[in-house]
Amino acid sequence: MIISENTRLTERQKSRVLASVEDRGFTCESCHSGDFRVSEALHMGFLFLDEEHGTYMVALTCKNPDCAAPRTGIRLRHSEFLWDE
Amino acid sequence: MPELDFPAWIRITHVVNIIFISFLIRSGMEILGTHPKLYWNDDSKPGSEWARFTCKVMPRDKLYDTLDEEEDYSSIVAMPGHKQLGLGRHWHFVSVLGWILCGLAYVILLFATGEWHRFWPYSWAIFPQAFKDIVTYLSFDLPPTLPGQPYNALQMLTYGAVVFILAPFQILTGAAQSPAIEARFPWYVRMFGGRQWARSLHFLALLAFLVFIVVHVFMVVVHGFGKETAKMIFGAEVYPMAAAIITVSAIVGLVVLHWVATRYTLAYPRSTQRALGKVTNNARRLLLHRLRSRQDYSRADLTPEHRVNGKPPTSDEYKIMAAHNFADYKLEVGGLVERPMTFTQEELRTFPTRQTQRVLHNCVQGWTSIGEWTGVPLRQIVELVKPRPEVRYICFWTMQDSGRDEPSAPGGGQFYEVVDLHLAYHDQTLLAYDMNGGPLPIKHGAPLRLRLETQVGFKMAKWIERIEFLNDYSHIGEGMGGWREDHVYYDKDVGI
Repeated sequence: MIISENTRLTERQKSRVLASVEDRGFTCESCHSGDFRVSEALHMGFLFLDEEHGTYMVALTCKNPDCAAPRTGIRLRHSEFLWDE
Repeated sequence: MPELDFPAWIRITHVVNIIFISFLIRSGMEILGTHPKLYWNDDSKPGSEWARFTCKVMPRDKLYDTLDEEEDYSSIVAMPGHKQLGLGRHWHFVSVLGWILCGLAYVILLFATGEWHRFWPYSWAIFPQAFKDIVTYLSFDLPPTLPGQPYNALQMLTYGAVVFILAPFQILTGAAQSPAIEARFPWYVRMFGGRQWARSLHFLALLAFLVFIVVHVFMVVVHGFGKETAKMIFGAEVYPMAAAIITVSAIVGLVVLHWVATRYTLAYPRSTQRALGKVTNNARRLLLHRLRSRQDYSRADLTPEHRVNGKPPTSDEYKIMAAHNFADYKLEVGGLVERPMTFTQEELRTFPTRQTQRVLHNCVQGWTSIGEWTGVPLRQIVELVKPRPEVRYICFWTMQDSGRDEPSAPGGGQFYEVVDLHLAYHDQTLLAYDMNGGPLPIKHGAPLRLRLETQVGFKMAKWIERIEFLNDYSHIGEGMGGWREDHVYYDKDVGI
């Protein structure tokens, strides 16, 4: 099993991501579907020189079985999905 | 014992030595400036340096690499100055070749002619006499020369130490900084206490040389400038005024030589790279290129926080791939091969051979870290794709665009590096996907990087996306064999 640098998300955090996807009208670049499965989040603020601190790339997988490129991602701020109640 | 004087060969090697050593010192300062910190540990841990020649403070909340730590030294102290490590290295290696050849000629003639007696302390009494000479100098007087000798006791011991201890020590500590030598003979580096000990000792020996030069010149003035320089120009204490004029003219000539060489190097870096490279490449290929890495550091030796060079690709494609743990990653292997192939991350990880090695990483800038790397031996990929007979090189194309991703390096374009095919067959040449027991971190080149343990770090391409087999690389980039060779004038073969 690969243990990555990514952050695993709780179900509640994943729900917030999907809400953000819907709010932004984010769709799959390949098939234009808006139906995604959320997996992990990569903190980019430290690693990438063009990213602000607290910015994440959240991994999304298009649920359309016919999608040619189902793996995509959405850029979100920590405050948009990662906080805990 | 023959009569000891100042024959022509001593005078000639003295002049040649001055030229080479002055270039060595300035080019050495250029090399120091690229990582202006000295350590007593091979981890090169930030903050653990015992000496630093920079005021830069690095950020804590953002990834920085060692290119960001590089200093821009003036051409007055560094050759050529202004963050030109590649050109500084060319000058350093050409100068060291000349200096060693000059030194060899000097030592051979020293023994062949019997002049070595000038450095040999025949009696223990020489040592207390040398101390008395120091006291005499401090009393503003001049000590007498030893009977039948051209020097006094202090001069005999000092010159002997410089020729037979300091100069060889400088060569040995320089060689201990060669990744090819370190990789093949790890015991040799340990003999000095480690790679960073060798680098620190090399610097301290430079200081010793500088102190010697300053005191030596001062003493020439104290003993009588014209009289003393006449020995090194005419071989005897004759025509002191002419000797003084010639010496001052020679010093001015040396300064002009440095000025011209520096100006030319900065104005025509490519032709300097090519011309000096021609001198050193053959020597390096002959002495270092066939050495194979035999490193096996212990787990306890591993550096807790391996230093970083190069910044990760900032394209959204890369970031999305990283967020998905590189599930979509594919390594393309092609070019002049019989069977072009593509490998997924899973295929690379389930290769029949999985090799792990704990090795010392040598950055071209001078820092080191010790890491454990796991991956596929490159020779296995080579055997699968079957290069055509004409193949001589392998090019590693990466996902990094230097103009976009590495503001501390001049120039843009896709980062690539070319290595000789035969290096792929070395036991510890690896395509690494794991580091220190976990997946290769993004900052160290995830999902795949090259490990080439006999070369300095920049050859070990990170974030690899494609491997191409070639019989010629002159059509790629500027045709110098890699992005850093093209843009910052490094050597293609970097066993030292």
